[in-house]
Amino acid sequence: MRAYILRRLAQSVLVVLAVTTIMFFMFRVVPSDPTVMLVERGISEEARQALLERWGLTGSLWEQYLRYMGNLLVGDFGSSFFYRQPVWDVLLPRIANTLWIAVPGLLLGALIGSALGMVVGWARRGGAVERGGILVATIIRGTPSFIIGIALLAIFSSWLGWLPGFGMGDAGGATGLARYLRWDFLLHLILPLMAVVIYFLPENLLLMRSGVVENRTEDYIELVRAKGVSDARVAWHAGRNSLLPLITWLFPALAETIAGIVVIEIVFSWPGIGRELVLAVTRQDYPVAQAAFFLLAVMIVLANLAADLTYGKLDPRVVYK
Amino acid sequence: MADATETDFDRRLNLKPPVRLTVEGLRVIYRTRRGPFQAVDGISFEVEPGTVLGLVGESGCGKSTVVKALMRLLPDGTRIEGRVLLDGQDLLAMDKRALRRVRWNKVALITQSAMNALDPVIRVGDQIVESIRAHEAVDRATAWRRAETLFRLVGLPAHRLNEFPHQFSGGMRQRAVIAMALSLNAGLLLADEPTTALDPIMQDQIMSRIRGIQELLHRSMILVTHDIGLVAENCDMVAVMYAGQIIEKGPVAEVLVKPRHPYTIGLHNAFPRMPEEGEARPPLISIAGGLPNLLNPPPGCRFAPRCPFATERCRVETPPLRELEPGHSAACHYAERAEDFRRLGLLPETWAVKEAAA
Repeated sequence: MRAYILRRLAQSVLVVLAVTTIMFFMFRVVPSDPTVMLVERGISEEARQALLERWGLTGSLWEQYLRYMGNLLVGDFGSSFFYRQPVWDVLLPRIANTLWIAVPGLLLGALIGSALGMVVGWARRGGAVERGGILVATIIRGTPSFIIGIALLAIFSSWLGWLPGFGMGDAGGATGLARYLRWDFLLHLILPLMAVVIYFLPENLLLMRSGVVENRTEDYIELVRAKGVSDARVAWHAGRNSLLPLITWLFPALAETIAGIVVIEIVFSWPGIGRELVLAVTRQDYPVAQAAFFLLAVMIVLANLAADLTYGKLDPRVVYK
Repeated sequence: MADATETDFDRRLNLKPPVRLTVEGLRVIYRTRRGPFQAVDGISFEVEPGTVLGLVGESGCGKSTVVKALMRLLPDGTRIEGRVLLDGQDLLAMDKRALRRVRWNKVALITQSAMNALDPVIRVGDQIVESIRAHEAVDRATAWRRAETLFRLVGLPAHRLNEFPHQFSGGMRQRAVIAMALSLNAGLLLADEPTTALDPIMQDQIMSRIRGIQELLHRSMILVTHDIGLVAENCDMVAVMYAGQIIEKGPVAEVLVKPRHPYTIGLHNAFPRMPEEGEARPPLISIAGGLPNLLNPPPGCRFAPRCPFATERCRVETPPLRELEPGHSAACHYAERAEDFRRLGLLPETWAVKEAAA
């Protein structure tokens, strides 16, 4: 088990390294000059050289790459061209902002989705609950996340005027945790959070349902029913067995859903890491874009690792080698 | 269990009498896309307390459907008619709560495929504990101790309760299923082909285990099987099913030695048996043809198309199940000629002619 985890960790590091390398060169081969935005026109050649040196843009591409990787090893992502401050200072608060909608959103989506999936899967075959559940879930699943976001905005913000739909509200200069401990912030949180939940929920529902439908005709379910336990308990057996495929899907899907969250952040102007990533790319702010991609890669790799480890906990038949 | 100390299971042993099962006019109709399918067509039988009834027939004759009907495990939308009386209480008329109380408490099931009968992700011990605690207000530790007693009873080491089904061999899983069926000492056990998936040696071990438990606990039991040999060794009474109907029933000694229905005679000859001293090995004879389509059952005797002795009357008039000797009935117009049938039935030509004609 320990050897397995160590080996998987080593693999994960390799993957992240590869992603970082690809990202580095991709941004360099894009036909545009970052110095244009960094270096003002009309500046003297010496000053320009000094600036380029300061931002690590001198030397051959290989030298730049080695310098970049070396700095990365000690956790230094460099400085943002646009903000003129260290990348970490730019990204950290935005990561926190993203976590506020991503973590509760994904948790609620998975929990509500699988619970509803169990209900729909256990309902009478061909009945209204099953047909209706599948229909609604499929429609939502096919809807892009920005449409979900815009629909929520249109209904609750523009039409009913119940909830704000733009940004996080005015923190009044507060920093750190104080930014979030405001009633106003919670109001701003509701719509983007709802969008994430609604976006993530249907696939959980559909996967859980098909698992339960598959399991409810298994022999062991018949024997559980014969034992005279409650209906809910029988359904629990089917649900428990359906968790296995759900979990294998869930963690890699988390990674995919991050892409959907990026879009939701833009719709609601939520100042998260996803929105920052898109802005950084359009601003050719390479240090920020590369760092954001790096963090996303780490998240995705960790999600996959977590999936493999959880699977063994849920299914006693899985052996780590 | 003389070697074990007295447990709560031993004390309960004497508390629960075996159940008397009376089935009257049981009819099961599956709803299918092509119309109603009469899987069981008005059968009646009785299991006296403490006796074993063998329910035999070929695959698809409806014997497993009968077992499921007796526990109301059939899929939603299936029509069940008739009465299933457990000590006089009609199981088919019960509401959900009463049904839950009766299941496992009065009637328990030893299922067909030991392979998937247990939940793959729950420890075997916890699955037995679940069945106990669904009906009795005992704590987990007490239920677990009873599970240990049950494991010893079926010949499994108690520490393996902590394992998962996939860590068991097929024979061990079957024993675990038996242990679970005994967990509340139900008065009626339904054993649905308990040895079908096992090799012959394991089959024999499991059956002698079931016999031993039967001698110890005196439960009423239905043994569903297609193996006439198992019936001969384990049952008091036997009912032979064909195409959803009981076509012959009676004491095992009567029905297997002097079968009255041509189908029983054919079934008998289709099984290998040891030749007696000086006798030539009797040939194995198969019955040609297959079961009739129950979506649209033919008129008359359902066995007529495969019966070498069938007449015009058989194809038109349905023979009733009638008592020929005390306790022994058969559904054949010509049951009185059974002696001739038995003699002719031993000859492969008798059945071969039919095959050529078909």
